[in-house]
Amino acid sequence: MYKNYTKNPCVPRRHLHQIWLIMRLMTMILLLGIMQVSASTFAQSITLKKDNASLKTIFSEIKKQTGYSILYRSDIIDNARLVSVNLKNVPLSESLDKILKDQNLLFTIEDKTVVIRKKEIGFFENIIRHLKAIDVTGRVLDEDGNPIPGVTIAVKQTKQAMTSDASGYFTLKNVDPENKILISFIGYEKKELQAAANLGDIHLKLSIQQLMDVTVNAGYYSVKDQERTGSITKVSADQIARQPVNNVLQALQANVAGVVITQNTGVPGGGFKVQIRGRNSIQQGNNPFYIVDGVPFTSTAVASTRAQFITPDPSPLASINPNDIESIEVLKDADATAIYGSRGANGVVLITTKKGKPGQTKATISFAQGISRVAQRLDLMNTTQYLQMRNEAFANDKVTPAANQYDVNGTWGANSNTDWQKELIGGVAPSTNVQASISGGTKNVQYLIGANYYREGTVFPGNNSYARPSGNFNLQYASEDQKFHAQFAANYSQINSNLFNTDLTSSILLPPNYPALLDQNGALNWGNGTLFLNPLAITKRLFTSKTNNLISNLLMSYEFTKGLNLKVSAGYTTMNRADYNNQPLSTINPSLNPTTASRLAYFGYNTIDTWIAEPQITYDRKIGPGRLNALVGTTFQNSLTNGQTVSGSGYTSDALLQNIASASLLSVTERQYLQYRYTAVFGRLNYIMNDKYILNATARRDGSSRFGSASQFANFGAVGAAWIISQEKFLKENVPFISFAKLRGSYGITGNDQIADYGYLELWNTNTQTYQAISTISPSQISNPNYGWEINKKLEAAIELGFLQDRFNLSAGYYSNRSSSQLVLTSLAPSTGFSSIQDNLPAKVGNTGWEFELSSKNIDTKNFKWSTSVNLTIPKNELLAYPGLATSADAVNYALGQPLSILKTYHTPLDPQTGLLTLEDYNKNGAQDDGDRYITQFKGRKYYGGIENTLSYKGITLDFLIQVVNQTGASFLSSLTNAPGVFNLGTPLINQPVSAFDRWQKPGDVTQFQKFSTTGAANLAYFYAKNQGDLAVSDASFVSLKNISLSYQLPQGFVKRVGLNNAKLYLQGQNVLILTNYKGLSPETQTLANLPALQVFSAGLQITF
Amino acid sequence: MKKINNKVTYILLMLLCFNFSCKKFLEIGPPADKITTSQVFENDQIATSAVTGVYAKMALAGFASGNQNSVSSLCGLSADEFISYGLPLDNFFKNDIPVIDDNTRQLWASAYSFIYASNAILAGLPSSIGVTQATRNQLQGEALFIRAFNYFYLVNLYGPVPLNLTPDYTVNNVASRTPVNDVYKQIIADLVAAEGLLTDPYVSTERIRPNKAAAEALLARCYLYNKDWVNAEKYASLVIGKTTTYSLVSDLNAVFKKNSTEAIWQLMPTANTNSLDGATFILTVTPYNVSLTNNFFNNAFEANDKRKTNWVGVYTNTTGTYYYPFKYKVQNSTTVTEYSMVLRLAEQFLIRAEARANQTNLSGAIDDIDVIRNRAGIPLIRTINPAIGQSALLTAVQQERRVELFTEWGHRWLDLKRSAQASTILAPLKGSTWQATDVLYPIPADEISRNHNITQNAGY
Repeated sequence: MYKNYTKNPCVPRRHLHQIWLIMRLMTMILLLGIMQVSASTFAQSITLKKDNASLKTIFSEIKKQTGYSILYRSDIIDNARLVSVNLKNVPLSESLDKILKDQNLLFTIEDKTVVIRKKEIGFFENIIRHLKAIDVTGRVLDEDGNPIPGVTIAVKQTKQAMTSDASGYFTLKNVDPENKILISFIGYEKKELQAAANLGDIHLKLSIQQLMDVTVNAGYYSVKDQERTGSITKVSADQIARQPVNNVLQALQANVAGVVITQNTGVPGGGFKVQIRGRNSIQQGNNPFYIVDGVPFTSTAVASTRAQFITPDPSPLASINPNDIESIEVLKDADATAIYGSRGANGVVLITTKKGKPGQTKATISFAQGISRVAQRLDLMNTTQYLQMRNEAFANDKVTPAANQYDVNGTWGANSNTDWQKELIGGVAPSTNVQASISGGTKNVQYLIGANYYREGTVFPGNNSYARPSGNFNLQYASEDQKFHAQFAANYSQINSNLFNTDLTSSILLPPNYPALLDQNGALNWGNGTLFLNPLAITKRLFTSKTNNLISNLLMSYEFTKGLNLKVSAGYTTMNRADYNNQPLSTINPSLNPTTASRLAYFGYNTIDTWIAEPQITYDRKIGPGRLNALVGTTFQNSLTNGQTVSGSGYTSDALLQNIASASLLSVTERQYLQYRYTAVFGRLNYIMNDKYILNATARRDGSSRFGSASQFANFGAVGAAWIISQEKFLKENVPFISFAKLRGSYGITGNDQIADYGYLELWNTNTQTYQAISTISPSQISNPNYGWEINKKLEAAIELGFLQDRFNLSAGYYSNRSSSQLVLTSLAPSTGFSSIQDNLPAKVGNTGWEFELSSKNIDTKNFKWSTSVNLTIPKNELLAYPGLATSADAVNYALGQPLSILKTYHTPLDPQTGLLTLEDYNKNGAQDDGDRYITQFKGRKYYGGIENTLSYKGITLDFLIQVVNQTGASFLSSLTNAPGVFNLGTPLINQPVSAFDRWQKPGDVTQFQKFSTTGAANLAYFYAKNQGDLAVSDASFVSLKNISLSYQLPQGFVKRVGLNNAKLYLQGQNVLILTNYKGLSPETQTLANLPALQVFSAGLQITF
Repeated sequence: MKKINNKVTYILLMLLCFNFSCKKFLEIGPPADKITTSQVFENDQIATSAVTGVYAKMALAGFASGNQNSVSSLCGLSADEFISYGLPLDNFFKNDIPVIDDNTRQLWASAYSFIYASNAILAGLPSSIGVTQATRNQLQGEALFIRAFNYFYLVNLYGPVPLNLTPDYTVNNVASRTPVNDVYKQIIADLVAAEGLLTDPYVSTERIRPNKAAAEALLARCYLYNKDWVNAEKYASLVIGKTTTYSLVSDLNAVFKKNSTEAIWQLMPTANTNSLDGATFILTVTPYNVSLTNNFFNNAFEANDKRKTNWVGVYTNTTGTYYYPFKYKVQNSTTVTEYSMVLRLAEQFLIRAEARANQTNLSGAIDDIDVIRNRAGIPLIRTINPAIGQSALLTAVQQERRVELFTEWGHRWLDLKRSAQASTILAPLKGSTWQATDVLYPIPADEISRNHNITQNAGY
């Protein structure tokens, strides 16, 4: 049944034709461009004799002799007169004078290029101007008188340009005083001045119409925000810098419409769930595609299994210092993502690091000190309440406590009362963040060198820490003629963590009268064989982890002729992680009679190396009433994941555990080797007509080694269009209060290849276990060679409006995505020997939604400013088709017409007679089965958004971000381990919330919770109710003050007096306040297994020299 | 214009070439840390490692491992040997197993993963070129033996089970349950074939890979379970007759040592560890998994039975006195002295005793049972009751099996079931939680939800 789909999972044939048509067209256009220009190098004097020759032939002869390129528009030359010349060793410019004498043409020589133009001004006049040339100097300042570096100062007529230095100064040489000087800088209004030797202080006003100038990075190309046809949201360095976070993903939370980012754990280095425009894939592969400076960045970090106990799915982005990031662009619709083809289905996150800017060398140093802590608490029982519950349970069951029920039989005492939340996760973690950078450069070379040290303590007991020193380096070079550009960026970081390998959060459920975990001597207390769990044992097992990460990228481009660029981007990233974990004998319960064999040490080492090469050609040219932009390129990428964990045992002493050579037995407990290769050809055609109508077409043909050879390649593409209505006369004249209006839409196809490598092979794995000291192998996977790409078709329509000179900006968008040919691990009956197999499922998942973004400048005076930006997303996820769902293993997980994130539950009413929760036999077949799980409960977001306000008065800026989420989720009861009253000696995580006292006590009682009981039957009834019944899902909506930041820019006068350029003091808070009805530790993580996201407060100082 | 055309052609050609070269670029071959199925049968050594891989996995985890989730522990709980100390083992002790119980899922899934491996080996061996004939016979024999051994436990614990004889998941994923008789037919056919392929000498210096005698021993057991007394006696005799290789160990404390002369087949534990049975059952703290029931300790043994003193351990602390199986002596040591005993000679004597008694060869049966009683130091039936009747003798054999084979491989549970005594004996002990349908474990819930041809056992 699947075969029909898997055989041809790609784009319909019709689309394939279109894509090839586009490719051919692009090639033709590029070639036409190439034909017009040619270049060579030789002498600078001309010897030439021609009669009635065309200018074309003469020019080509001059090129041959001099090596100078000659640029001209063919239409000018074609209409020129024929020329007769006779030159002998005449210098170039003199020769050109003679050749062009009777033509209406003039020439200029710049470097090694001769540009031929139509004569507009007399040649003589031109000479005079040259004689009158002056040097123009000046200084650019903002409205407050602060210098603005990096401002472009250009001569309007000649395009000669320069940028201001760190103090705002500039000098333009040899300027014709008749010319106009243009001063422009992103975010400021343009200024045009008459050239003069000294322009003095030039004050630039902040532009209201910022939208016009903002450029957005779209990956292979960049686009002016105004001319954008796709859905791209940009998050700036400013927005990131305001937040005291250790992972940049935290800073994106609540800031981007359509993007859900949830933090899995408050432990630094932990993972995040990132979903752009909902869940497309039923089972897996919902990660967006990350790109750092043009190089694909892994979305799953390398780490040994043991390293994932405390931070499951650690976030690789933890290796990147958020301060090094200049901007993050989130690409959402088909128009923006289709150029990434098979990897664009779940959106693309582009991270661009900071670069040097021309100007005087600028040094910035900042220092911040902060504290983090767990802000929320569970309302758990104290000893009196706990014992009351237990005794009532025994009374209900009419039994007496057995000898090993230590909590009630007096062994643990009725008087001790420990607050395990305070003991185990109640610490205050200090954090330190030091950042230094130097940047500057000239017109041709710019550089940036930065260093950062970040260290965070822990809220767990002890002084363990997580530290990340990092450095970044960026060098940009442009040749004198600005034709050749090169850029090298490198970012290196090292994470050193010695946090232990287990999260202590779930241990807060220890009974309140559980004995002290350490004895008077500070040794682990095992209560003479009465304690089977001592969470502090973990803290005495050394776990160190060192992660090195290097991201490097080299970008070179050469402009062959105006508009035609050859570009090569090459990148290499490598991440390696060394984990060490041990188990000293002294940390094992002595009553288990551990032997030297229990002394264990694990040495894990994992690497992932990726290289990528992407040669590209871009072409930019005015054609007809508009401008054409074309791009073709190819990708070659190779990734290799390699690693193993070796365990050593048979140590003779705890002191030797760190030496692998001291182990008498070594075995490889984990081994991983994954190669991934990926290749593609891609292209883009963009045409902007009359600055009003924009058409953008992108296409990609992809091949991935993750698929069997029959289905390795597929085609992807998209078309986007925009109409800038505000450029139309009728709107300009009739509706003056609308300053900007644009309609845009896109449709296209992207894909997803986020599955395990080698799924198409039948493989055997070498076992950790030997047999008679000879290695053994076992089947590790069964094969299915036929599966292909998951396909995601995206449709989007949006309107963008600006009112009153863009003081208010509103954008509203609707998207509708359809994901089909789902890549799934189809569940297999365990009797097949395996639990699943890779396959395509002809199911369809739809994601639709509305996204709104609003920004306004509420107050905009010289001293007081107040601006607000709001984003709101209303998503809808729906399973549209799933052939054979009713008879599949997924029947209990999903339902047609419902979101993927549902939980089917039993109805579990309390029996008022027995006091136990029951399961309703809905299908009346006398047995408990999946047919009884008839209630569909939604777990997910109904709407979410963020509201950010920025208020500034003179040098003081207050910024706060409020996150609003309306959602349902796993109730906190579902992460409790046992029913109220049950005792478990082996894992005594049995304390209960005080709310459990709303329990059944006597026949007839109708309560939320069942009676206290110690029995297995009660435990099972409670298990179903809290995991798959009425108690499983609860409201988890929240409003949180996600971030608050207060900064004070020290007065310029004072700053200057102490020899600085700038100085800023700031106070920042993250996860400051949360309002919610959710009873657990965090409505975000909805679990007790992991530490919730921490509350952070930080104070810092930033100075610039 | 011609030039342009040339260049266009050239670039188009390049793009075409790109597609071919890309195809080449994407050829990455198998991963460096794994091998493909065809490579498994390249030579004797690697093909052998595929078979020994099954033993290594059996000894490590799952139904055959000897840990608290193995048949030794779980069937001991279901019967009258063990008591449990909390969930989830309580479910077995109370014969009240939820269909989602992870232990029964592990029992089921581990047996089927070993069956898959043997099916894959049986499918791959015939076409292999690099494997020599002798090794091929040996490996085929072992794979057939493994498959039969696993189906023996599946059919006994679950009743009718899907009988998968191919590695093809498309077939197995929709298979229905095969009647018990047909499963047994296949088990016996596999064992008969294995017996023909395997040799008497062990292929290695130790008794850790099945040989001809192992196939015969398991055949004897299967025939016994099917009341084919003639064949049960025949195959037990074949094993007992190999006296140069197999003999009872007189010292009860040495029976379970590695390569003990009583061993017909043992599983070698993971390097540097002893059998998991010792680690699981020996008590040094208040028990939290299982311990022997007081009833078993006080009432099972006859007076002066050396097995009571040698094979049962006693642990006393402030909370009370607890008993545990002490057949394996090592709880935790890097010095390896004990392997996990799967098939041993004592059982063959008891099989033959039962088979002979059922064929009214009472004297022969008494001889066999007395071999076991003699070692245990209790009076011989020949001495105290030489005129014992058939039914009393059969009862005596059952009693002897109870005290000889306790907490080994679920013998007690399977014996209660096959003698239809489960309800009689267990109902008074277990109380209201006992139901007649509890003799079969529930088919795991995910087996049923993923393969809709599988039905659940009655009572679940």
